[in-house]
Amino acid sequence: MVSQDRTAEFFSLCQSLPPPATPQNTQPKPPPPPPSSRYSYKAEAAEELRTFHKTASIISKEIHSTSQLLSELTSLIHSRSGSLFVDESQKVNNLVLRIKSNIESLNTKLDASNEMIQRNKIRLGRNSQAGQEATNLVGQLQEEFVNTTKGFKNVLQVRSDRMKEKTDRETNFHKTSKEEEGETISLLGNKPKVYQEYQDNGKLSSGLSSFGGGGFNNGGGLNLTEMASSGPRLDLTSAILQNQGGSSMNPGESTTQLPRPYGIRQTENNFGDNTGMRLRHSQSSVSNNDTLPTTSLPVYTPLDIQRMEEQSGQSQMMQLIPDQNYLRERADAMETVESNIVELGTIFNKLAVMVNEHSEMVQRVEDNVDAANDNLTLSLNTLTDTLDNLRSNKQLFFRMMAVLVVFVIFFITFFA
Amino acid sequence: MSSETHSLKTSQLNAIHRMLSLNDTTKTPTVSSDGVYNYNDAPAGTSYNQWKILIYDAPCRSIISPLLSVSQLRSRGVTLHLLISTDREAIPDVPAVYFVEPTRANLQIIASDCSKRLYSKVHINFVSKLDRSLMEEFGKLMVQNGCLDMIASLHDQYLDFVCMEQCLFSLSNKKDSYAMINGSGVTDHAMEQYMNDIAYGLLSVMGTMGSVPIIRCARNGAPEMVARKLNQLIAEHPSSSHGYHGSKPLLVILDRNMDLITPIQHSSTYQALIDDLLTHNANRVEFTMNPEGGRRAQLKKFDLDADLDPFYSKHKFQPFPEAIEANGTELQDVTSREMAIRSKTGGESDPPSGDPNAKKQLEMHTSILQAVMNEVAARDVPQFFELEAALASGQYKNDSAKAKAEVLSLVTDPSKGNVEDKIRLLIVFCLATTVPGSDITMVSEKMAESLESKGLSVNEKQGGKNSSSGGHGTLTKEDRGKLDKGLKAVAYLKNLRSMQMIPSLSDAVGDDYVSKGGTSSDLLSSFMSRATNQASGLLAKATEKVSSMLGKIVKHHSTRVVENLCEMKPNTEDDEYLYLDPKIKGDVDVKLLRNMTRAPYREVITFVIGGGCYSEYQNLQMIANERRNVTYGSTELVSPCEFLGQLGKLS
Repeated sequence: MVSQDRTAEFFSLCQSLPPPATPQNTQPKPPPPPPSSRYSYKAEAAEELRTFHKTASIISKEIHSTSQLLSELTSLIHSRSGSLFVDESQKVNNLVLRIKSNIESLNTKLDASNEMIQRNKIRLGRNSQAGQEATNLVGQLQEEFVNTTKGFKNVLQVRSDRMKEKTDRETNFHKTSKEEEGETISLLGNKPKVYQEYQDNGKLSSGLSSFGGGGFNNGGGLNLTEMASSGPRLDLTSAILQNQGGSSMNPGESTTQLPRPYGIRQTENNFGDNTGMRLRHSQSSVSNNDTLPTTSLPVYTPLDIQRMEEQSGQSQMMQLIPDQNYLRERADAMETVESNIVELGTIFNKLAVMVNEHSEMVQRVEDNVDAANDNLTLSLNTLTDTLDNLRSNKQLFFRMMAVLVVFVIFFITFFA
Repeated sequence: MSSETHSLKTSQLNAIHRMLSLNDTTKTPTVSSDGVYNYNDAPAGTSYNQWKILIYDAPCRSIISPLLSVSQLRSRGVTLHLLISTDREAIPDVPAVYFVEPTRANLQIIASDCSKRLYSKVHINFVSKLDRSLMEEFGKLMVQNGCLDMIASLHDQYLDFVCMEQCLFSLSNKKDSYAMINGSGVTDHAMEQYMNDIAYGLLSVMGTMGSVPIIRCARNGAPEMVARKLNQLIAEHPSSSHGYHGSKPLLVILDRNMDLITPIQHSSTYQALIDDLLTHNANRVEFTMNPEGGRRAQLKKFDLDADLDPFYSKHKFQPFPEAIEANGTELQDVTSREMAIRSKTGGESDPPSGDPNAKKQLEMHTSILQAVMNEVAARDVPQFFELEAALASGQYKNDSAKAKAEVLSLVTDPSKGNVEDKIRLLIVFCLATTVPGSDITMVSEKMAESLESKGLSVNEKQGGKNSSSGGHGTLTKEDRGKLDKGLKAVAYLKNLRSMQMIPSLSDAVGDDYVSKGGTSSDLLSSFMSRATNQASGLLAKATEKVSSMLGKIVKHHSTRVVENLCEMKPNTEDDEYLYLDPKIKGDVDVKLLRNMTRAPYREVITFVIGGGCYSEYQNLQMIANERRNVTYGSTELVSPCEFLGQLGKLS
């Protein structure tokens, strides 16, 4: 590159130059601001803009750090091969939470700065360049922000897709094994599917489709309603089946329309003692998982529980506990993802509008001037129009006066 | 810079980026795969992405506008961009980047800005070299105003050229270069200054490329003047002393006078036709369209960027019918893909990410193609093109009577072409053949006559409406002006020809020419009828026959010269052209070099003094290949009509 830095040359040249001729100018002072009446008013606005610049740079830095977090999250999610997300889910959740809170705070900050600019713009005048500069700045920040959040949205979608994929795979795996197991199992095998579909797919897709995206698995949304309606029914019949199987449960209890968390592998192992298993599940979901619809749930007395526990074998209990944890974790994860998406949805919508406005701006550098030219000609036209108007008014006025004078002369000559 | 050479545009873009990062070279940004610096992930707040205001003058704006759009500038932290001559308000606390020409007026404005303390700091970048005397003056002003502390930096950027495409540039601020150089009323001093400017422009180009070239040019005339000045400038420039790696590029400086036919001729390729028929300036094309129903003409503006637009870069050099066809099929392709996706997703979901942009671009090309097609059909351009190509390639060399008859018939046909088309054909006829001057006079008189009578007939038809123009005013004022100018141009060229100033075409037409004449005429008219039929509907699917016929393009004069120089063919221009190497004092005798093995040139820059055109650019790219990169530049890029205007000014 031939670009030459001539700063040093210039400064040495300036130093060799004689100091300015007028002695009072030797100590260079910034020229005093023009003492206009509006000055203090404007200065105040300018001062506010100055602080605004500081906040802007803070915002920009935050956006940058957020995008870095996001890239970390992305790599984490994409690197996760088909394995279970036992290890990373905590990390991912933390990251998601942090990014989410970042985005929220950024959003409020951007809103505040936008408001401030609007306020100051009125004070500075509509075409003030300082105001324009600030508006552009905020626009740019918003654009960056939206790009970041878009990335976040995509990452969340990928994540939920992955979860769904995994669930499907598990169901498939189960389906193959179920054929060997027999009738009852096949019924039971459907239940976990119901539950999981509900948890994974349903909430997520409803959450996702609540903000404009909508691209994510429309079929899933349909599935959800189907499943949600058929789920309890299925559950009910299976419970009746169990009843007929000669369990000691009382019929009222068996009609609980509670979608049950059901460990798949456990169902395979425990089909010998289904009743106990199932009860155990419904009970634990009551105590642990408050988010499930518990309205129609019968209240178990401690005695009941004791009895059931006695019925189910100790070994099964041991097997059940990690399963419970796993399910709970999973449900929690899905819930966080879902709630994140819902909360962010509003922000996305708002920003999408703003950015659309922003990006439909001029494309080329010259266009600015062209627009200015157009405005100029337009104003000129308006002015000439006004002039014409005035002229015609004047003519009208003269005519009126003439008529009046003639009338007066007529009046005076004939009546006076 | 690094040993790998980027294309000219990329280098210029990088230089602009560096300037916008306040010339901070301490941190090297990551370089993305295509060689463009990736500044976007630089955190805001560092100098790479600091908020700033860009202040430029008009020539510098024309440099930036093909390179960066407003939104790209924004993402580089430029919140406002203002012309230096407009009223600017104080925006304290924001640094300003000036990008201006080193003129006295600009320096005064900058000094007064500083004394008013409009911005927090001032980074001054000059597009070319700031003279020492001007710098002293500026320094005095600054010291007097007591605002020396405002200046953060001062740079000479050497970016004084406009890059339209990766391999296409023109010098900024050089209008009417042909008329200027060949005009009679130019003082020696002005000419000297002009040559100096050109040399500085070329220095900018070479500097931005980061290499010291070997300069070849014809002896005598403007090219030698420029070449010697440039040679000296490069040798004197401080940064040229430390070595560059890689093979030296070849800079060929040519004079427009060597080939006057190319810029005036009609063309057949997409890009050249856009430039010829529509308003095309610095990658922006403008035209008026009558929407269906024809209520009001709509002005449409499109930005064409061959680097971002796959369709354009693929088809800009192709014959126009092929471009139409490709546009049709690609558009169909995209639409069908979109439909498939729509049907899968249930209709209301958003289209996939990549496609909307591609579709938009294709639709833009559709409307451009349609506009071009309207013009082509209205003016019967292919007929002109075909005859001109035949004339220029010497098909009628031995049959001047037939040539004359053909030209005469086309020129006097009132339904074909406009005034300028006819004059251009006449000029090609005049330049490309050896018919006696009296013939040309005769043809031009006949043409003028027919134009008058055509005007009359039109006038009679519209007699009722157009009563004011009686008697002689048969042509519209505009057309009359064009005709007068065109006749002047013809007269000037006839003069030149009689003085033997133009190299006779007979030897210029080499063996490279592939004749595909014969049946072309009726093919062409069949294409025309087809095209006219389909111009109103969507675009034509031109037949393969037509495209193959139009595809054979003769190598132009400049292309042949450059090829000879590159391949070092003996007994061609390679022997007679001047050979200058800035690293070696004095001229180099090519005959001596012939015994040594010379490395092949990987980078060739062709520069035409006196105006270049797109058809020449396209023609030159034919000799480019994967081992040889050909960049084309000129003092300015002129459309044929503009060039005609310049010729008209000369007599």
